[in-house]
This record gives sequence, C-alpha cells and structure tokens, in this order.
Amino acid sequence: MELQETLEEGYVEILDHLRKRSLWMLHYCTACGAIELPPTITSRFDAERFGIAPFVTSRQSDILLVTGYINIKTLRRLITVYEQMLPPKYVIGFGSCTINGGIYWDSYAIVKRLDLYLPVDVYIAGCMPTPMAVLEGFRTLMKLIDEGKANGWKKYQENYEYYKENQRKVLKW
Amino acid sequence: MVKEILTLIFTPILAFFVGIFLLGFKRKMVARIHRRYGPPLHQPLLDIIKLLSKKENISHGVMFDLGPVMYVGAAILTVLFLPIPGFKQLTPFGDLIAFLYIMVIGSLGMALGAGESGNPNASIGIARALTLMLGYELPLIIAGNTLVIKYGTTDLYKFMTLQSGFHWNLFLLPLTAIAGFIATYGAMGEHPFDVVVAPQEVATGPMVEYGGKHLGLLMIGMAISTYIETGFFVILFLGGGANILTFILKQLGVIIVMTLFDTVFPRFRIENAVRYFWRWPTLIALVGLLIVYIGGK
Amino acid sequence: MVEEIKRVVIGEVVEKRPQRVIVKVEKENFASTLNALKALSFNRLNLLTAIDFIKENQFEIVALVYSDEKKVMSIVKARIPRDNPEIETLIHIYPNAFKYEVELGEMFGIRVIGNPDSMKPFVLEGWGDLPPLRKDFDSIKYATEHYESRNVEVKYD
Repeated sequence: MELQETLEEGYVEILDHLRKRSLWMLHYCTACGAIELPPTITSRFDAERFGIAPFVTSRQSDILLVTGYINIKTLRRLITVYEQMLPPKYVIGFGSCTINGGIYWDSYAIVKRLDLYLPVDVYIAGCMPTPMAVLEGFRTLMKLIDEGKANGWKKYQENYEYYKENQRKVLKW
Repeated sequence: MVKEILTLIFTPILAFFVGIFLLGFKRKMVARIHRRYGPPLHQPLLDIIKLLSKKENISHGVMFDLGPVMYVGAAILTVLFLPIPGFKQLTPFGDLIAFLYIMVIGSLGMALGAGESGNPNASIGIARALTLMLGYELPLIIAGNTLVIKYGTTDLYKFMTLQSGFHWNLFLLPLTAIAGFIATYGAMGEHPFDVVVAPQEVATGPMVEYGGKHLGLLMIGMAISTYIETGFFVILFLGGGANILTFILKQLGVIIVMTLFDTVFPRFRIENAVRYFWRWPTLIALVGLLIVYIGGK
Repeated sequence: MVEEIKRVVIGEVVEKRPQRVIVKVEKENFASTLNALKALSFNRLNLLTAIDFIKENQFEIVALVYSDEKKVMSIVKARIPRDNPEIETLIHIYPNAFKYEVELGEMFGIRVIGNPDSMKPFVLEGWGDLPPLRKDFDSIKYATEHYESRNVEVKYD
C-alpha cells in the first residue's frame, strides 16, 4: 500500500510539473476589464510563450477569467459555464470589482464578493490591471499548481450545498 | 521478413513524433514572423499530455465516442501505405488509387461523430468540411494521374526511386507541382482555406463539444495527418530521399514555404474557396496533363 | 428652420443655437408632432427617455431627433402626471423606438400604449421592488441589505 501511494503521489507531481505550462483560457469577456486581454495575448506582452492560448468553448478550456463587474444576469450564465468545464479547472478574479465591489458598490444589481458563489484561486487587483500585472497573476497561478495548492474545483465539489445556498439567496432560482 | 514487420510497427510512432516536431516548428515560425518569442518546440506534446490527464469526460452516446477513434485509426492505416526511403511498407498491396481512397475515411468518421453531438455549430462545421473536400480533391487527383501517365505505373515506391539524383518532378513538371502545392493547402486546413475550424465564426466547427481525452486523441490524429500530407507531396514531387533524415528535412522545407504564405492571408468563404479550386489550380493541372500526354509519349 | 417648424407645430418653439431647436408640447400632441417633424426631413431618432420631477409630481418625456440634410437637432418634450403614467407609442413613425419604450416601462414604470412588449421584464429578470430609476428608490439601502460585502481593513504600507 505504501509503495502504491508513493507512486501515485510521484505521478501526480510529475503531471503537475508538465501541466502548468499548457493552460488554456476561455475567451469570455464578461465586462469592461476584458479590454486588457488583447494587449496581453498579442505581440508586445506575449502570453503564448507560457503556453496560454485563448479558446472559445467551455469544454476545451481550463481557466475561467471573470473580468470586471458581476451583475445578477451575468452570474446566472457564469455558473452554468463553470459547471460545463472539465476538471481540473481554475477561476481567476480580475479587477477590483470581484474583490469588494469596486466603483459600483452602491448599485442595485452588482454582486460584491465573488468567492461566495464560485471558488476563486487567484485575485488580480487593479482597475484595470496593466498587462504586466496580468502576466504576474498567471505566473502566481502556475506556481500554485506546481506546489499542489490550487484546489478550487475540489472545494466546490465538497462544499456544494454551501455554494448553492448562497446562489439561491441572490439569484432567485 | 522480421525486419519489415518491426518497421511496420514503429512507423506510426515515428510519424507521431515527426508530426509534433513539424507542428511545433510551425507555431514558433508564426510567432517569429509576428515579432515575438513563441512557445517552445515541444509545446504540442505538453498540450496532449494535459488533455489526456483530465479527470472527467462528457459523452453524448456511442457514435460520439467512436468519432475520434475512427479518425486516429484511419490516420494510422494511411501512414502504413506511404513508403519511406529503404522500406516498401505496404505498397505491394495498395497503390496510388487505394491511397487516395483511404485518405478520406478519417474525415467521414469525424463527420458521423460530430453530428451526434447535437450542437448546431458542429453541423455547420461538418457541412463545410465535406464541401471543401469536393474542392481540393480535383486538382490533387489530376496531378497524381499526370505522374501515372508519365511513369506508366501506379506504385508509390517506384515514384521515389525513379526521381533519384536531382531528377525531381518539381523541375521537370513545374505546372503540375504548383497545382499539387495549392491542393495541399486545402488538405491541411491552412489559412486561405481554414473555414472548417473558424474560431471566431463557428466556435471551432466539429470539435466544439469534444474535450478532455477525446480532444487528446484528435490532436494525435492531427499530428499524424500533418506527416501524411507533407510526406505525400515530398514523394510525388520532391524525389523522396536517400535516407530518413533527408526525408524529414524536405518535409520541413515544405512546411517553411507553406507558413510564409499562410500567415499573410485572411479566410475565404466556402463558396469562394470551392469556386477557386475548380478554376485556377484545375486549369493549371489540365495544361500539365496535356503537356505530358502530347510531348512525353 | 425655426419658421418652418413653427408653422406645423402646436406648442412653444425656442431656438437655443443655430443647430438646436427645443419644442414643448402637450401630452396628446406628442406623436403627431413627431410625425410632422419626420415629414420635414428629421429622419433619425437618437434617444427617447424620461426625467423624474418628484416635487412637481410629473414625468417629462424627452425625444431627440436629428436631420442629416440640414444638420439640425430638435428636442421634443412633454409632461405627464406621475400617478398612472401612460404615453402613446412611436414605433409606427420611428421603428427603432421599440427597445427604448421597453426600457421606459421597466426602469420608470411608464406604460406605453400600442407596444406589445411594454411592462415585460427586460434586463432585470424577476424584479419585484420599485422601478429603480425613480427618485424615491434608495439604491445604497437596497445594496447594503441584499449583497454582502467583505469586512476587512485596508492597510497602506
């Protein structure tokens, strides 16, 4: 038994080391923070040298990038898209509106904290963050994957009732 | 006898690794043309490892699962009918005409599998893929049959050995070579004719519902298909090779020239692409056929 | 331009600058005034919205129309009472007024007679409170009651 466990842990470690260099992100531009994505992907601040490429379907991608403010109409669609992705999957909160509401804190339709409804791994602060800050956020995510600490998708499966209760209170499902 | 069977078993593995090297080289070259650094040369291998290690799989039925299996299976079968320098593979059992038939089985299997998924984007993508196949097969078959008339045989291994010592068909029959080169763009899905996988329009066409292990199998099939199509052009028009290293170098030369044109063009619509294929490359190939028929005999 | 407009319109016409003409009409003549302006070469509706005058207990409906030939913009205003607000539709004159009227119904509570989608849910799916753009709706109170915020201290170092 001990030999089998050691082999399994070693196998997972090698896979994480190889897998962090080929993350694919979903090109779903939620709100105004998505204007910083084209400079990051194209020639000047090149994100493809880390293996990060934009893809258009939720079945093929690993990272869900929530850029900018979250209103209730978008949150319903975001939860459906997140549950369609295949694990292991990661969520990155982009901009200060996902941290504490940002400049829209007093609006009747904006949700202030993202991690009550979806499990978030990395936050990137700024309004908007510059492309260099975005690349720093991606490198932090790659370091967390290498150490084996990016387990948002396992938290969602274990605390499913907690997340669904929060979603039902706000979204009137 | 034993040596030949061992070569038959190792050829798909060789085709897979050469295909990965060619795809990685293409991505790096496109990045350098855009004046940026690109991903490392082994990036397609990392992508395939990540896709094959996903934890769940979504399936829509039995035919949906069998689509990628048919694609990879047809690719492995086709690569056994291509000779490499020094070994005949399965060419005594199947010649040029059998090869042109077997090349099509993979796309038909993908069509059945993607149609089962129920997504309208997949149906549009599959209809466009099969229509494009009607377009590029015509110049390719005329170019192949020109060589049959010139050499008097349909054996692919003899095509390679009769062109040794710089008697390449690229210099002897230049018009047919140009028509075959343009038809190879359509077969590989390169840029003027990549309406099948159009990420901004139909969300990658037939592959829209595939993820995880199915997509990993599809990418393995795509790497082997790259080896097959460039290898076919090298055998017909560039003289094969003295040993395996010159063969791979000639395939690399084909990829370099194709990429130089591929990064500059936008995308044709499907009816414009088919109309183009039936006009200029077909005319050039017919003129080449006339030259061989009248002059060569 | 002001002279031609004064001839066809029943109401008050003021010229602010050579390219701006303001027309104030009664509630019953709103649609017929816009019809007459369209015949006078004002071919595009830019905006249709409402302003809430809570102290005088009235809404004011504002329509901006522009003429591409003469390069003049005209602003047409009408006042309606604040309890049970109703106005006639403009989709037979300018077809792009359809979505503006649906938004008037959802954000202010103004019913538009003749529009098939009036007072149906549009952007806020399932809203049960007061219409949000009225001046007696308290947005900060609603936001602090319904949406939780993160209670941390911000440290600057």
